Amino acid sequence: MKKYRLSKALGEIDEVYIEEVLKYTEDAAAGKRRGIFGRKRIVTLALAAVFIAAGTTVTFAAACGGLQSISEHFTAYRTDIKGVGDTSSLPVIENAWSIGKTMDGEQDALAGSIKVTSAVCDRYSLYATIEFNAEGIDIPENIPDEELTFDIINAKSGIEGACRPVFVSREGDIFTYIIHFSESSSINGDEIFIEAHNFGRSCTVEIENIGRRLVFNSVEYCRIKFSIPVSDLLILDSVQSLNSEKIDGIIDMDAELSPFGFVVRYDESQVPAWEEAHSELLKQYGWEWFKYSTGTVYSLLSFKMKDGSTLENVHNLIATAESGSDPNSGKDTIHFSFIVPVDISQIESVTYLGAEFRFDAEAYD
Amino acid sequence: MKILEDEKIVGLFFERNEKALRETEASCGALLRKTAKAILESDSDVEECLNDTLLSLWQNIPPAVPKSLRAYACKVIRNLAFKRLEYGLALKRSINSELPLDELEAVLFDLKTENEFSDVEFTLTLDSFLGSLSAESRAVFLKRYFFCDTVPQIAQDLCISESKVNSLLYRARKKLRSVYEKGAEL
Repeated sequence: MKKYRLSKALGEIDEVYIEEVLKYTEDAAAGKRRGIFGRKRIVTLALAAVFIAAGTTVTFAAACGGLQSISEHFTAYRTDIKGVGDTSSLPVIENAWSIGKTMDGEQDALAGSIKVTSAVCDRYSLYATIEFNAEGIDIPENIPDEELTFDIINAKSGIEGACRPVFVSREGDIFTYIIHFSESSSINGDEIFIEAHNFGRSCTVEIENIGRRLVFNSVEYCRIKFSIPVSDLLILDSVQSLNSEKIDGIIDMDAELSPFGFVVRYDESQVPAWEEAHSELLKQYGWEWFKYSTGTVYSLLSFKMKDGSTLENVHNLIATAESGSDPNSGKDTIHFSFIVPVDISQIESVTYLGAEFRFDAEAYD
Repeated sequence: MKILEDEKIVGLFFERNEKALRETEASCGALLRKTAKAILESDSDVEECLNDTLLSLWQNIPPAVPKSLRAYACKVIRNLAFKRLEYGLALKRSINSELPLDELEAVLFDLKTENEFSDVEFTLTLDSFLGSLSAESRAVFLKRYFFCDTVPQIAQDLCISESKVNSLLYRARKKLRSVYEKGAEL
């Protein structure tokens, strides 16, 4: 074997990777300096009253203006969740968006502007409704309203991620969308910077020698920046599981539940032993731990409700599953974000990978 | 001293302005010394490596246009430090016994196919492997095997536990071996 061949080959890798590591290290150090964002608040609608009474810039009228259609949107989403026993019994918090803050974006577009009509989050996810004012943009009449969206919306700092907004409604030039960012680490920093890129729609086109491909056709090329101060966010409370469990007798795990997601924490060092014990199963599917633990082939999640009913196949409620680490415990995490906000006070336990995690969340007023 | 941004320093190199060298040392001298020091024990070797690195940057920029000056400089000083290390090995001088090189090389130990790769293919496969890792795993892997940091240092730098660092490294090495095994089969 040539001496240090791999080590020397590492000296020829793309500089982008090295810069990324340097930046990653700086960000980790900066995160440590800032302290971990760990505030928890109890969500009550009384808080909405406090917000408004305190004379903050909450535009209650604006939030209420969009509330009806957003509620309808989530009602539709709820009934569209496949496989859950009785979708009508899924306790969705439809008024979670009734609190929020309006912020004008820092405009960087030839036309169009964005404002956040409401934003709400838990420690791992951010949901917001935005209004895009398309005044001045020449939108072809043959495009259905619900097909118009942004190519991508990126979030940087505070929370990292990218999403394509979900259309809610259109009134004249005003388009209302929901955006959702999720990650497995806690939200931190002072502000979440967001950039919306290019307004248009996705469509399928035939490309010679390649075939049909989904592409994004821009009606307006734009980049609109706006930010959300973290201190102004309503942070929905989460609860820790009352018990911890051992998955397959190998991996110690505990859990956390919030209206926007379910988080499991485990010791990464136990994973190789689990993978070793399940090597045949993993080989069969070409999986490793993360794919197995987030896969949808098995019925991974079910909710036992306090009224005695059970909701099976709740994994269909999952929008994203991401791995990360909990800075407080040092343990690895998998964060499942929900596509609708769930009233967790009605949930008695969550079963995941055969282990039952019990919770005792306070009721919402 | 106000430190210039990377792009401005690269601009100085292109203007053939010797201020570029002072600015490079001010901007990333500490990082470069740390990178070399992780491979070489002797402080004088580290300083010689740093001087050679600055000379190399002066000779190669232009035509080279680094995507990131500090990353480019890190590559240069690491390669120079390795050459010096090998020279020391050849002379049987004492070397840094704490280096993680052997644990990385063990990935390909007993893999007969290693020599079936050209050097270019070898690096391209490594690039592709790095691209397949998560950002966190990549950071841990490169801090260990590019920057030769210790496990406790990586854990401290990235605010994660030492057990997690060890676990990520173990899984990355396992994946790397499988990448080279598959590459050789193609």
